[in-house]
Amino acid sequence: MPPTSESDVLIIRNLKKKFGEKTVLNGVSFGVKRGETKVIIGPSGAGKSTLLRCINRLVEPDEGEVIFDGINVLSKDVDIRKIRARIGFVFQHFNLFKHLTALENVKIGPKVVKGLSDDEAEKIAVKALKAVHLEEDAFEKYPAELSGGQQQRVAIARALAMEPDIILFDEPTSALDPQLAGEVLDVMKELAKKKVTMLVVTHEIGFALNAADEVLFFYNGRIWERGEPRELLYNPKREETKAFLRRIADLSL
Amino acid sequence: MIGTAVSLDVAMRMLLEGAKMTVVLSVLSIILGLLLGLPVAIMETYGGRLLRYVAMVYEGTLRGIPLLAIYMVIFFSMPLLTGIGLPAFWAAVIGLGIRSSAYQSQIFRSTIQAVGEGQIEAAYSLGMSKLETLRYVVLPQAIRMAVPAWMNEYVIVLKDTSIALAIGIVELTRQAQYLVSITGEPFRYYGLAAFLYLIMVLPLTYLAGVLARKYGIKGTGGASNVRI
Repeated sequence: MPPTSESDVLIIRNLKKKFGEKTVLNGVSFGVKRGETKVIIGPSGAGKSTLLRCINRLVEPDEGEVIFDGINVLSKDVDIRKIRARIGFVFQHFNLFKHLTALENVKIGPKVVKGLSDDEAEKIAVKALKAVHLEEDAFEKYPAELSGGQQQRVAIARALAMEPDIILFDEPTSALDPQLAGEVLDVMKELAKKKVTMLVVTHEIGFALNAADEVLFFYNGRIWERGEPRELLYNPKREETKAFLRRIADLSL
Repeated sequence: MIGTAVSLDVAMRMLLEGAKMTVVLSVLSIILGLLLGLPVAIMETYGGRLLRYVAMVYEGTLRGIPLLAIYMVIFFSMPLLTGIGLPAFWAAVIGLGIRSSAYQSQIFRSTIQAVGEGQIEAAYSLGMSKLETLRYVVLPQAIRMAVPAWMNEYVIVLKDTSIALAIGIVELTRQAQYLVSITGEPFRYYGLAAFLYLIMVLPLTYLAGVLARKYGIKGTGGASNVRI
């Protein structure tokens, strides 16, 4: 089924990327519909993070197409900053601005990029921080004073405050211990319920089962297998998928 | 002349006069160094190949030449080449300033790099331009992280103003020289001059600590690294 539906907010076609001799993405194609949560799983080095970075051109892909809301992102005429402002990105290591408080971290995007006034930006930021359930006494704290879970929730709020069309998550809980990962995953599940469009690279199989509309299994720079979460996770067809899921299951026991 | 007694009052007035010149010279030089050094650091970290090369040659050359030689070139050689002679005072400021700019560029280069790729990617992902990222994310952190090293650089500049006596600037060390040549008492007057340098430098060292605590970024190390 070619991913060309009208409702696709993001379409990836035949995306390829090499780092030197190493092929990281070897012809990846899929689409993400508005309101959908799509989860990408797969062993490290399979090209998952590179894929996300190619979508907002933090990394330039070698070949293929990225169509975002009908716009060819890889075209030379595109002002990539305008595209990035509409695509949220949540990083594995949070990447909060260390000299700014939680609230300021969330305000800076609307203020600097969208040119909103301080008052307007503050309103949006407070709303976003409440949406990720950040404790109010943490609003004025600096990243170094927050727990990892709080930091990542602030990072999600920072993405939300831009009112993006889609949010890309790059292993958002990999740097957190399980309890803190839980509070981040809860927020992400809520967002999925609210029909925020998300593309999530993760090893959290539970999240994939609960929140994903579709799961893609990445292997060797390709989509090796894809399907409904229950189908793919409980009843994988291909050997590599089975082996990967077995390994993940062993780790979580 | 030698052996003439000078009252302590007169001696101190002369030395303080010199100290005033030392302070003025050092403040103007460190500011010139900042105005040149910060752009050089930005060129080295954010510039294209050409700008980076120009910046590297600039700071590498100035760091590789003794200050005295820089003074000789600016004060004695340049007028012969260009026909334009600078007053000794401005030659002193420029010499010390550009040499400091080379060292300051290295202070800021390292703190700019210390901000880290992750925050820059985050800024780009929000849709910020390179310039906005520099202005709102990188420089506010790089400048604050640079405070301790920068204060240290100021102390070095303050002490190195003494070399300006070679082109005729009457600063603290030169005043002490006068006094010694009049009285023949090197121990007393060089000692007093050294003491005055120390009095100027010690509060700065203390101030560096205070500023580091005040402007340090939580979680980036240094004296401000207070955890809750």
